[in-house]
Amino acid sequence: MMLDNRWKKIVVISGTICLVLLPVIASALGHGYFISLFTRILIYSLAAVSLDLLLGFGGLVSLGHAAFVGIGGYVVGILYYHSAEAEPLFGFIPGSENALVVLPSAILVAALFAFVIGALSLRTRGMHFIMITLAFAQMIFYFFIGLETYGGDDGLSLYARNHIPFLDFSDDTQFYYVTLISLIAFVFFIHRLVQSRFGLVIRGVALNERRINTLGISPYNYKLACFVIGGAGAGFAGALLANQTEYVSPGMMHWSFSGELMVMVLIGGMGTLFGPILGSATFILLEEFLGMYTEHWMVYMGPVLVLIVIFAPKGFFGLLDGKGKRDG
Amino acid sequence: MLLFIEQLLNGFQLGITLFLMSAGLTLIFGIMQVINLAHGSFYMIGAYVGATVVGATGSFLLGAVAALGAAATVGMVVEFLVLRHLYDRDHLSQVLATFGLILFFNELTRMIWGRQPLFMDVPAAISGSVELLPGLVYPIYRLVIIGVGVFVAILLWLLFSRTRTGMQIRAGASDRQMIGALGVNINLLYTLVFGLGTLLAGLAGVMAGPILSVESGMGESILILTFVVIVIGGIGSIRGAVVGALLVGIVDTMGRAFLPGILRLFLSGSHADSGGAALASMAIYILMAAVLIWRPRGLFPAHS
Amino acid sequence: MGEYLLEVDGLCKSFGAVQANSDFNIKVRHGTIHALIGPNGAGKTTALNQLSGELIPDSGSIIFNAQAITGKKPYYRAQKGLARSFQITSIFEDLSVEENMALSIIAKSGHNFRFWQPCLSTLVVKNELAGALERIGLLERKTEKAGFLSHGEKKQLEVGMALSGEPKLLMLDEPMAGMGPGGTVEMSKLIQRLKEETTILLVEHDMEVVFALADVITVMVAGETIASGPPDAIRADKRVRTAYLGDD
Repeated sequence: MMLDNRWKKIVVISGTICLVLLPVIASALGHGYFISLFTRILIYSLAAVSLDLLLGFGGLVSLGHAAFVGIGGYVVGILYYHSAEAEPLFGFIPGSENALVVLPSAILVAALFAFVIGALSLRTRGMHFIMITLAFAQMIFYFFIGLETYGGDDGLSLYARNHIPFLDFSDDTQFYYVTLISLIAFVFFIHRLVQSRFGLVIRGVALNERRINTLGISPYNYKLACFVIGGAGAGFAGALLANQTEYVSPGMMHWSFSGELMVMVLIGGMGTLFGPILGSATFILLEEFLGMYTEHWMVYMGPVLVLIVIFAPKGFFGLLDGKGKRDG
Repeated sequence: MLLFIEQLLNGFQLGITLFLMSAGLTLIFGIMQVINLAHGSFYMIGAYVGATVVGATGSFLLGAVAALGAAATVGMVVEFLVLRHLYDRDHLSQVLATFGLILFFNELTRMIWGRQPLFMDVPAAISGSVELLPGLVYPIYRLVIIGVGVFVAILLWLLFSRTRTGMQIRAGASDRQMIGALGVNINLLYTLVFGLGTLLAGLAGVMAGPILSVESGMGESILILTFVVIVIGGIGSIRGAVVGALLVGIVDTMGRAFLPGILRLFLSGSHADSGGAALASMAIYILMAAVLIWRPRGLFPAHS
Repeated sequence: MGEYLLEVDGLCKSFGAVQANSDFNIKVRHGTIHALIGPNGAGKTTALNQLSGELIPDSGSIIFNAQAITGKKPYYRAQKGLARSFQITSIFEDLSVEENMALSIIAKSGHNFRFWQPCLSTLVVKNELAGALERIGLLERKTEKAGFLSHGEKKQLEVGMALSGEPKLLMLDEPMAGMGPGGTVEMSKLIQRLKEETTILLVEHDMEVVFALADVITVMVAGETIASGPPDAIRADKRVRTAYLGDD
């Protein structure tokens, strides 16, 4: 279903090979910096894929997705803080730097927040839904700014990444491969999800909610589950991000980050699995390299985005679709 | 007590700013069914142009006129070039395209005016304060803002319920093809409505200039508040915009003024301050959530 | 099993100043084809929407299979065996034909919080899909996108989907709309065949079809029921002739 034409296969396979070999190539060329740059790309890709589940498959235009990334990050940060200070959270939850504890916790907490926000927001639809998800994300943003103990506006520095048996997160190359494997696993999970009964219902709800109702399915429960899964994925990305940058701040939850994630999904192709990965790579690489030429690269990015929306809304993979049809 | 009234008036004044923003936005939402994230950019344009002209000429009146003109003109150009292609598209496309506009305008202002915030002086004639009640001294400028807002609200009400253009606009909202068939130029109508919406945003911006700082990104903070207003008030409804704006303005202002003090009764000093500030920032969103649970379509949804 | 599958009494619905339904009644017997007719603007679609649950009546009651369903949501009614098709065909245009049908199958087989196994490979779908598609003659086209089907084929698909849940009552909203004479014949044959499996409430404008197929006809004018009975009685009814068929 996803890789139905030659061109997409070529792009995906060559892309995967490049990603797998990247640390080797980068070290060999003496540009170790690329490893951390691409780790960031992989993490953002994970967040973007989780957003694509909502946007591209579920038809849920959530403008507050960054909030869940931030929440995942803060779980890591807060647990780290309480571990480093050797003082339990709320008096009884011990801190931790163990990735096997921290990462699942981040996913769980993000999922919980997504459940509450989703339960309220999904009572609305259309423009209301869009605005409400944005507003809730802002609320969470302000909440974390108010948490003075964890740095408030300035954020919180971690001085070490999480620990995990047999591996060393602080080694950039090892961390890169952990992230790569996480991304691949997540994409595979979403691939199965979308083909499953649940996935078909969600896609049906996005296309024609009225018909889903008359078939006897209550759309609300499924939309909510979709929202929660997306939020959990974002939380996972946030936890990885906190580990990578060894820093968390409310900026991770700012709505502009939500917007950037949406741009990544759009450029690559909504409703495809690999599109968001390509989109995130494009966006970050553009930011890195265009940013070297002019600090005002956004002034070009803005109109380009408008043009893409108006003329090529299916993104890169959509263009490949067209090419495949013409060739095939 | 006097502090209470003073903060209430401040809340009113913020409410007026929010009303001007949300009236424009709710019109665009309700009539053209398009979601425009870049609405805050016109607020910003109003503020920047106003500040620049006032700084250059010393005349607030000129600055205000320039601000309104700039906001309306840029608005209509944007409508013609961009929005027009989005009316029939889905909400996500509209969100993404208008997000692109935000990126563009924010960066443009940084390019033209630099990163430092601009300052704008209150016009000398109304820069003083007046004693409203014994012991309560209140800036005249803020009273003027309230006055202008009420005046605009009345004008809008007259426009939409009493004039033919207003009827056409409301009719265009419910049936675009029909009204086109009746010979009304729908494209022109939409451009004008959009221009009106952005003019109101520009007005809000130029009036807010002296009170807040004029900087890139100022549009987005007010935009999110505006969204909250519209969610609470109901999409497409001017009445909803009035009620929502006043509610949000007052709750937000009073919350910031009094919550830290209230919390200090229960918590220690610094916790109370930061907790209070955080809670105050969250107050309107909590209000929004509460309204949503009770009325998912807002307090006064326009029938569509 | 009561006498009537569907009993509707005194249904009223207004939109602002417009009273769309002012006293709608209908009683549908098991195993019949019951037609609902009326001039344009009579309020048939409003009535149908109240039956399916998309609109909540201002007053009146709806009893389906001996159960009061007046305030219930559409999906609840569908689960209880009330299915409908829409005047403007409502399917999942971007999904394939088999995915469309699969959705209607899985809708009736328990919950759908199953996240791993591909839907088209699940047992329940594998068992029923081919048969369901065969019945409406779309088995060979199953991998095509539903949006590419012809108008008549889309209607077939929609009815097929409504049927696969083995509904007790199938409400068809102007199934002949937009069909050429060939399509009308096919659809009429289909409806005849369906009579054995389910009860049908047919809202239709095409009088030939109505009088040929229906066991009972209810006539609606200006928002209320004015007559109800077998076709011959309706044909002869003076009020109906005046209001609808035109004076002789």
